[in-house]
Amino acid sequence: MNPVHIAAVGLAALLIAGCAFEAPRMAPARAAPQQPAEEGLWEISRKFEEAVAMSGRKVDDPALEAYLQDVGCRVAGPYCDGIRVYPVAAPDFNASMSPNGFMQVWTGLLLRVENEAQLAAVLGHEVMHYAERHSLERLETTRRTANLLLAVQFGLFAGGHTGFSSGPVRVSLGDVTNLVAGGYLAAYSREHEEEADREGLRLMQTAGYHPGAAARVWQNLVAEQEACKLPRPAALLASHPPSTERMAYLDQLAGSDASGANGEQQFLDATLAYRGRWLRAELALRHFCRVRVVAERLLERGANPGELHYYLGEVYRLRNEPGDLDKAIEAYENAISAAGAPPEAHRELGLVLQRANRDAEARAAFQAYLDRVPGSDDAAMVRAYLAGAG
Amino acid sequence: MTAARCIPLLLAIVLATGCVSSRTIHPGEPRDIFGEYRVMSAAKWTRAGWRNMELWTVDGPQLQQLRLYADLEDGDSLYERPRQAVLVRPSVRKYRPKFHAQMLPHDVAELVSSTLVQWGAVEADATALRPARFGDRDGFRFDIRFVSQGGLVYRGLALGHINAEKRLHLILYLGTEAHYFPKFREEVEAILASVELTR
Amino acid sequence: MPGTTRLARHRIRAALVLLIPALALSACVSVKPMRAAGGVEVRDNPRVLLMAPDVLLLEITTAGVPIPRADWSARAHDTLVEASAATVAARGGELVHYVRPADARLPVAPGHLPALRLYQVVLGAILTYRYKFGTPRGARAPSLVTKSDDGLEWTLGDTVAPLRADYDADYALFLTFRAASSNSGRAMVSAAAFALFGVIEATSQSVGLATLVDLHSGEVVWTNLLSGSAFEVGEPEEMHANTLKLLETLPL
Repeated sequence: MNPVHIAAVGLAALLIAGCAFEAPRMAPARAAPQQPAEEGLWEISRKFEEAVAMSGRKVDDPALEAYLQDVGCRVAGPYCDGIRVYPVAAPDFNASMSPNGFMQVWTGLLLRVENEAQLAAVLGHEVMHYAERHSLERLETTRRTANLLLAVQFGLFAGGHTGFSSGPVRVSLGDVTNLVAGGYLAAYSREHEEEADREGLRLMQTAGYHPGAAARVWQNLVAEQEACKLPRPAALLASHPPSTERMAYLDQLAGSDASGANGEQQFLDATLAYRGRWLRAELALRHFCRVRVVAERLLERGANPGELHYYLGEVYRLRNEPGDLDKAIEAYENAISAAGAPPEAHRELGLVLQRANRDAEARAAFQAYLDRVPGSDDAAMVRAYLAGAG
Repeated sequence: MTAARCIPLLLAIVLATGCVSSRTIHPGEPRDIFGEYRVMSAAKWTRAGWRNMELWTVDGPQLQQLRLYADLEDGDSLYERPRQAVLVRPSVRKYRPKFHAQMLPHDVAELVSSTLVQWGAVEADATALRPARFGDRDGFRFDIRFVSQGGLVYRGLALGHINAEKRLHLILYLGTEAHYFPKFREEVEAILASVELTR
Repeated sequence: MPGTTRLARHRIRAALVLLIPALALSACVSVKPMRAAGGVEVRDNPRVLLMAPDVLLLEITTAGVPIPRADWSARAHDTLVEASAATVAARGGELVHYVRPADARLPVAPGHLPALRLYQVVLGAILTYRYKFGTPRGARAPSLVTKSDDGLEWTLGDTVAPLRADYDADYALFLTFRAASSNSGRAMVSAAAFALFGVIEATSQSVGLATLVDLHSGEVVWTNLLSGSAFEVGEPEEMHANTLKLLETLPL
């Protein structure tokens, strides 16, 4: 780094540090934009919300939507009237809040949280982004930061013209200042995330949920990331605090408070019927490792083990790597002997046995499928397998 | 803008279609599909082609499309360039649903529905899998239904055949449930009935 | 401008003088209307259903950050509605307004979704194959040998039947408007950029799209695309004039 670089970075950092913007917390009784910039944010949020409502991604299921809205409202307390929670069909762990109270909860998140308290921890976090008007703060900060950056860049660009540096250096200087701005903005947003974590934890605690659930969400996520070697964003530019850091302060905040409900049964009652569909969606994306980790964790909790063994079988059948055939056969056999397996477990067992050239056993499995669902719409095809054709 | 926000499913295909010169499928002229099989159409289509795959449409591939695959081998995908995975980053390629030589018709139906999800379908179902003739050989057929990100319902049908060398021939017809799928349904049935294996 | 040196002031003024012809060159609004290839069936005293206009206007701040302006959007929305009513009335027709269901998350009646969703995809095909959207400069635009080279040949089929029945309407009119306009600070930056580096930057960009669908046949009978730069989208008069331009070729 030459002196010009250092001066540029230092100047940018100095200027930027003075321009963070803080908005007062939203008044719950008056959930409406309070100033022109916020009106604009609400306007595009409303458009976004309508687009999602009309899209195919919004899960068209009034019962699930009502459940999420109900948990969201209990957590939001006084902010209940301002927020609207939508289930969105998308694999991956994610939830988001728009400035106008429009909240999306991805089905991949619902697949991964283990009880209502964990769901409440995430919803509480999102409610705080809304209540604290973090989007407005970001917009104002960006506007101010960008104005100052413009001054910095203009100075440097003009400097380039008067002989301070050559053309290519000018370009790299622009990159450096942008990097600082990006890192700074991301860091600022990390403060938002941490504030939302801490205040959100208070919300879920007030609503009667066990506060220890919050750290558990991140624990599970870290375990999945590590088991599947998922890439993580560079620490400097990460918009969320690293999950391990998060676990630590959430754990500390929850302390030894063992009170509050976990709501595991309520969560199962509301979501178990959809679980297979959500696992299937992740399989279509070939997230084999992640489905395996999630299914094995859910198996520990006990509900519908047959279904989970079936999806483990699907992981191995579809992955089709050396050794997977035997693992698939074992998983389907486990499924069939446990409660809650779909009849397709027999058919899929037949498919992998046939691949393993275990014809007689394959026939038995196909026959077992036909015995269970004689009127299935693929019965003719399965009968063709039995006849040795197809 | 609105149209951009609701970029329909299959946009990737539109872009890809733009990369090759579109040519014409003339009514009544037999069309050879990569030396593997022949089909005949009574209607005019706009055609785009890659190795192992042709795409035909009349109103635009977002609205309806016929995909004719030939000779897919172990490891091939249903993407535009089934075999040119070299152009795709390994981290992306890893997640593409692929055909395997040991597959049975049920596996092929799953391959199609997963590929549709990867192209942006919110949910995709392959149903009513049944034996059917592919030319003079044994094959299979199934029906498809999927919903785009924009919420539009699409219908589809598929006819496939896995030959003695464990290669897959597959014809897929997809279109919006409203208007554009039914518009050429009869025509497509006639194309499927016209299949003649040439090897 | 307090604190500005004489030299700098001179340079900026010089830049502004230089900028005027440059902006005048780019200050144009163009329209590109298209009609159904098979012609348009014109009805007497048509009832035209105006779908909720999709409007979004942004202000470009001094540093180039786009800020959504709800006040501009609301004004532009009203201008579009007024101009539509006036245009339709002038052709002897009547404009009826789409009514958003009360207290529902969905902004339209569920029965109208199939038509609105298909409209988005059909519009995408029209933009790709007729307006050549998304084709990089110099690249060959995608084409369909199964469509004529000019005119529209797309339909929403019978998905439009519920709209026709619920509003007793003959046509549906869809309007989209997007614009970004620089604030005065940004205009100064543009001037300075021009003076220092010779870079010309348009101070505003806008795109308007209007579509007319025959609710009896489902056919898309007319589209118009307006694109312009350097008109003040925040100014009601200019917005009104451009809206009239967008609707001028409405085939009623």
